[in-house]
Amino acid sequence: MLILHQLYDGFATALSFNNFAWMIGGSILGTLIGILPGLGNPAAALAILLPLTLRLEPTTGMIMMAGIYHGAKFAGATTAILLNIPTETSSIVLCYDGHALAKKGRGGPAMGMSAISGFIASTVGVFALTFAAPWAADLAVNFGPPEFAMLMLFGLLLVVSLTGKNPVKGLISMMLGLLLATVGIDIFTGSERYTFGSIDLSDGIEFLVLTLGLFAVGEVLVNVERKAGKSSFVAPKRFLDYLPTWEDLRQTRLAIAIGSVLGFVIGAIPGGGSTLASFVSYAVVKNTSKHPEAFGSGTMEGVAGPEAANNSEAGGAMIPLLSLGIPGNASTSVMLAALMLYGVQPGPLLFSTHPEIAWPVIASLYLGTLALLVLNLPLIPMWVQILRIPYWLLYPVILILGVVGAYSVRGSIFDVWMLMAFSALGYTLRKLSVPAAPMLMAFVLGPQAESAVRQSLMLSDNSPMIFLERPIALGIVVLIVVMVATSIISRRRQRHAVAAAPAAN
Amino acid sequence: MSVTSKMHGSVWSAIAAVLIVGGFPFGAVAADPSNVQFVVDTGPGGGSDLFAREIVKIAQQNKIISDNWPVISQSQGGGLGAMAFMKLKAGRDNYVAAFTSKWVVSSLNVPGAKATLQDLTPIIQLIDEPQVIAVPASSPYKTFAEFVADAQKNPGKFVQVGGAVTSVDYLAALVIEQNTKSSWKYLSFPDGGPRITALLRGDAQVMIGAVTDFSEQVAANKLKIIGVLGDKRVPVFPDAPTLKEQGVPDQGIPTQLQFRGIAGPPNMSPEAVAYFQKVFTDVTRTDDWKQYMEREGDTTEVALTDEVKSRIADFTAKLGPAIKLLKTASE
Amino acid sequence: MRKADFVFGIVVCLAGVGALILALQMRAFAGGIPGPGFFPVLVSSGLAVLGAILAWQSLQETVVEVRAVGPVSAVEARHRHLSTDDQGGPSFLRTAAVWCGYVIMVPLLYFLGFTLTMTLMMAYLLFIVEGRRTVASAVAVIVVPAAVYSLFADLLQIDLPSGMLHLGVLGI
Repeated sequence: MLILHQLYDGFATALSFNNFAWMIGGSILGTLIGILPGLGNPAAALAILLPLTLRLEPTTGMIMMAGIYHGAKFAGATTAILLNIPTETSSIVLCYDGHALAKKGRGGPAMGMSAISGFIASTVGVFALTFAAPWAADLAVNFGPPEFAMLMLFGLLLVVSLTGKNPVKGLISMMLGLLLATVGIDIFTGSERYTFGSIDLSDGIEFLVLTLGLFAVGEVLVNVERKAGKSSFVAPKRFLDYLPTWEDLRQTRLAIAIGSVLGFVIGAIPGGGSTLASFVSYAVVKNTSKHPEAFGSGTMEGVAGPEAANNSEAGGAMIPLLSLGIPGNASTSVMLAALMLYGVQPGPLLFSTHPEIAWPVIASLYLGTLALLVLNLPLIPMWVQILRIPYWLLYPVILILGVVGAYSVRGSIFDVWMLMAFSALGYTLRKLSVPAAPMLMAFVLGPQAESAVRQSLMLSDNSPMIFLERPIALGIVVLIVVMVATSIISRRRQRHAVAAAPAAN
Repeated sequence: MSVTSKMHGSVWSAIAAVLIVGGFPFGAVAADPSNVQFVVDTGPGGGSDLFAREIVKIAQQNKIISDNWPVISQSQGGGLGAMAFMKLKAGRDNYVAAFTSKWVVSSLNVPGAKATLQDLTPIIQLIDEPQVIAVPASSPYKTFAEFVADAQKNPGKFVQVGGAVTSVDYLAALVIEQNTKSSWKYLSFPDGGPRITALLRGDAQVMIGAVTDFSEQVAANKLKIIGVLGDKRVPVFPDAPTLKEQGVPDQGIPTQLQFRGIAGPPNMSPEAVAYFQKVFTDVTRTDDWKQYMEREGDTTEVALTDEVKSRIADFTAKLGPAIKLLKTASE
Repeated sequence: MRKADFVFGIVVCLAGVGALILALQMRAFAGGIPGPGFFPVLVSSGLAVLGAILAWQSLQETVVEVRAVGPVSAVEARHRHLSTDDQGGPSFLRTAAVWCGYVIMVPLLYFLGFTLTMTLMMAYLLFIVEGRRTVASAVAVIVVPAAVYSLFADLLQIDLPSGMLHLGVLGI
């Protein structure tokens, strides 16, 4: 019960006028910065505002950072849904169904759904954090390279499962992603791979540049084929039309539940991250849904599931940070940096030596989503007006922001050249009906899978049995086998159905 | 006037922001560099990033500087990108970079590097970061010498966890292995978090790192320190003997293995160098700095330009053979 | 669609083979465990094989639409919708014009700096490609790049290319 008391104290501190005001301010700033490509991921927004947050008291500063974090996440969802531009890795999945919904005129409800499912998931996350922290901390410590390798393999198989009607094209996209990800210096041996002697390539290809090129600019190139007329956006009549309906909420119950749990567990694993969380959540929600074929053309579950995972992941990521002093993802790395700059060392003792910092932070992570819900839901109609901007004005701005985003990552013009190349690639892939998302997912998962496999084999002296000897890894392997088996069975069933009704296709 | 009426209000505020925040240099003082940019070789939250931000924070709090020095991340190649970036700013006075010994290692590892630390203008060295050796609290080793003895009997069995293969902890390990005719494996993780969990989990038996990597875990009795590289004990872990005291042969390892300092672009003006030397020296004299050093377990080692140059040359000379070991080890 | 698929398949196959040749020069095993070359060899051979399969598939009269592992995603259908026009024709020219303008802009960034280059690019896009010679466009051309620059470089203190002219205003 001491925990509940401390949590209550945490909320009380977080809700003090000063702290609450800074949290709201942080949410607004985070949203504004998060909209911008290149800065959209929460870690970058946090890093930019670090000089500002450092001027505050530690507790207030951390609370403001929680606000910034959620603001940036919400902004990421906004651009993904409205503009099909993922400003951060975890919002790529939202581009699928979210943008499809926007095209159908349901962009507002999609954004509202993302905020609401995020709020619900955050609640789950905070409670799980409070009560399941020791278990999750154990998981974090015991998740080593073999477990990680199997998790990545699971993720890659999920990528394959989403490749769509032409699996060969999807697999080509995935292989391209894997290949691009190997460019750079190999961390284990220090040798160069595909760098052609260029120092810019020796650190690998920047993910943001790849994303901006394939998605943002690539989409522009496709759209400018036709001279843009007036915007075809039809504004909903009533305010309520901008929000999800009760029916939507009812349908997404399961998706939100799945997303919340998955997000929290994956967030607790150091290196898990919101990309993996949102992606796995999307795939699992789709595979367990009653109408999986509707995914990709605008389902609310396709938005609710990933966004729930995205938000409960924050709660999960706080566990290794607060209990072990180990950041689970890029955003918690920045928070860790802030804590160290405040002179507070996050570690196993943080909860006992500085509970006045730990608990308000947890409380504010939760309050951050509440603040966003309250602040941004009414503002959704305003955000949706972005769709009304005539395309002749919008697309040059996107191109300009693309340059800013690409350049700002490492201050390198080389990255801008890469943007050019990737945008051409993105255009080509679209015209050829090759999906771009497998490439991106493989680009993220591939290197982690490779590292984890090599580390595991190093530990086991090249014996692949290590993946079966360790309990958690074995558990994931079983999961993989089950998934593959069910897919093959369902594929056979569908084949029979197709064979029985040849005219259906 | 119809054109101006079409301008958005937000544009006016943007222009206002430029005027207010951007700072038109009316009446700028010629002497002190303004609009200083602090270049680091890690992303936000990384060692150099924290180092730079801490310095700026202390300088601002103690009114040594009056404006903000934004931290710019040039994280390619473990210093190579930052060095190349600084070389491009030759002659400019408003760029400083936080260098570490990693920069020397990276340039030695990549023979065709466009820019090396020698090309830049070293301004000042600030810190020596002692490297300590940590093992899980439940480990049977009380000193590093015991570990080495075990490793001699069981070559290739044990695992040391650390960062990239160009990091100084791996190089130091290679030197010790060569000196003692032992060998053990090296597990690389790019981030610090998984390294600690690997140690806690038992995947690795030993890790060499900075004091702050371990201090909290040691305080929570999860890890213990069984050795210190170099010839001085570390105040934060007073019971940990140095390698020299343990009798582990560490010749070939530079006494200052992990140092940090500030460098400017090539051809920086002497006035600017003097200015920055004064700023950073003033920072090291503040109480905030002393607290920072205590927290980090680092020692202040202030050295100015010429001394820095000779230390870097010394480091390069000592590390050359170690780098060769690195290249042969990965065959 | 078939011809495009065929060409794409061949291109991918060749790229895969090229990558494979480079990958084989890396060490496949280092210290007993998979080395830097191991993974690239796998991936590039996979790419080469897939490219060949695609090319072969496109030569068939009817492509067998086999479902992938798991249920189908409708993303594909959406993508197919967009590519009703094949290469050539006025539509592709517009895209090419935009992309070429974008590419030419990159070296200009180095010499003229961000603001000037973006202004030029936007002028090119709005006046030439879009053909909108309106006052609104003129205003946008001047205002947008400057606003973006001051937002990022001044307010957020993100370094943007500042070119060689060093006029001191707006990073030009």
